[in-house]
Amino acid sequence: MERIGQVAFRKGQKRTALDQAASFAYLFTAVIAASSLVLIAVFLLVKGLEPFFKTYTENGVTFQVSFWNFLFAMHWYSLPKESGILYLTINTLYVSLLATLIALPLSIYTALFISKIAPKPFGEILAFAIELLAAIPSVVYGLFGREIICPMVDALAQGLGLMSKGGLSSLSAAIVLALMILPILTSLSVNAMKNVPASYLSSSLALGASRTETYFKVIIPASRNGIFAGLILGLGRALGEATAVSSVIGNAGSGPTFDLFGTSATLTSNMLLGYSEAVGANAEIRFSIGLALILLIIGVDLLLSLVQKRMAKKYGQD
Amino acid sequence: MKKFEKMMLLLPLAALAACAKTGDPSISVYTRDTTSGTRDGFMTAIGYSAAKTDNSKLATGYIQVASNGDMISSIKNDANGIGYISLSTLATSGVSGLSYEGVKPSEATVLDGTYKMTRNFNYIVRASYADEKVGQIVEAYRAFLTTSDAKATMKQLGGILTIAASDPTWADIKANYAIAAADNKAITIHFGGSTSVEEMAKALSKEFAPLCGNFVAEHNHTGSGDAYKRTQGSDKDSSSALDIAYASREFSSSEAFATGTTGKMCTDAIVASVNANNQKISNITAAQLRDIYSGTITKWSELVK
Repeated sequence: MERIGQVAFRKGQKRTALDQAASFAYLFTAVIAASSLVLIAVFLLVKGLEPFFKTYTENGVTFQVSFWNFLFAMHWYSLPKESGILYLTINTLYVSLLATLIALPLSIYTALFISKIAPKPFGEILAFAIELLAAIPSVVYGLFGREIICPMVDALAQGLGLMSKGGLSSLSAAIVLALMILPILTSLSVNAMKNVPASYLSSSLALGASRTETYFKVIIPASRNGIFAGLILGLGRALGEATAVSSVIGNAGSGPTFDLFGTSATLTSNMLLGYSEAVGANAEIRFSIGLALILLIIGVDLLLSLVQKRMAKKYGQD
Repeated sequence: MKKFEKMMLLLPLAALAACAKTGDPSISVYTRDTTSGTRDGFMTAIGYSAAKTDNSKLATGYIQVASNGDMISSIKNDANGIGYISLSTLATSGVSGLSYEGVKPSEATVLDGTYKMTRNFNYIVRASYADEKVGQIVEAYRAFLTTSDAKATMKQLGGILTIAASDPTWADIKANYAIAAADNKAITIHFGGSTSVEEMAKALSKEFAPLCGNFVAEHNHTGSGDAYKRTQGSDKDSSSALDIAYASREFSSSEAFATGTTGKMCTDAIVASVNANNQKISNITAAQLRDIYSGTITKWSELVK
């Protein structure tokens, strides 16, 4: 019983009835919090798998949903027509990856500036402004994307002599997502960089390295773990974001789309499309897409932690 | 790790290479999703019913939008876009509405029957009631829909119809419905069906309930598909059963309703629309729209020739 939280109790100190009642209450809330995870998992699993074991009769057509088609079809025609999520999964990964590629350098440089270069008060103001970005609701990001980012992307496409559908595209979605994950990535990177011991900096400088060399060869590698944690959280958010993405991506019915200026669709945007009016199989299949999405997010997170562990092994723990 | 980084750098390059080039601009085809009643009405009107709920029949690269408003803002942003919206929203939309088969869309052309891309807002009621009083209120409501009072409300909310001088007011006919004079606070009437009609339906209930003994109006709109199902079809005795349900389309042959249980409320017109800067065309035919939505015509140049 050497828990940190219990160190405060002196040996032999008696627990009052109130203490006991309170710890029962803590236990109760902890169980509720943890069991909601189990509840959600069971609910999603049951609801997500149900459509594949059911026979639907809709508008005079009797059909079953093929699990194989659901996993591997490259278009979504609406049930009972062949509809599958493979292209949605590829698009989801592609758009999230693009978003991370845009956000990662931005947030690392910003974090460097805030933690090491900017005068302290200015850095704090900047850090606060970036954290505020996280407080903006996704529907506002969606509106912003639709009205500001899409026309900009459209203009860019036209400038390059390329076709774009009013800017509804993978690129717009990636930019909006990049804005959304920027605060997570930046604040975790700032924290990590602030925690790099000052001795690292002075040793490096004393060895004759320039400031820039020190930042890139000492500070950033030493903050690797924090940056990676930000990456995991940020990618999770990017993969799961629905409202903002649906507003700017164009909801293509087939794919996958690698064209930056082409319309695309993700698992989440497809779940949301027509949700308010869908009935029967087309409503229930959305749980299956949700299940697939969660599995995808867990998979990506596991993969990233594996990469992180391997890197730690290679370069040594800080 | 170096290899991984190189791959990451190659990704944007590969993405750029995959982009489509302009020149002779392609038509961007916008459609509502398969649950939409407007889509149903549009596809039926242009004679392409196969694509009502089946995306596989649509041109490659079609874009799905979630609502009428989403359609408008998409067309506004896309110089090469084509889509379809409700006539009631055309005036304020900022997109350009096309004439259909040579007829300009307007309330007048819809009413005189020359503008053909229309759909009716219909209702269906139960064939039998567990509570006789519910049946009487429903009958009173149906009579109310024919009055100038109800018609004015429908018109105000974008419904297209004529209010004739011969139309009775509710005050003229209420004596025929004894139930209207009773106290109906304990009776709940279940409304549902089309979401396109939802706003109008709620306004009508709000107006009629005080005129008919303050019955409780409960609205649960889930789509036109449930209108028949929940009044006379498979769900008529379920917990989601309805007394009065609306459909923003005609009832189909598979919906075998009892005679005298349905009625028309008003008409809504659908307008094929393009970007306001698109001067290429001002008129479109059903055959052209079919070709665009099925992918036979993909370039604006093919339409203009």
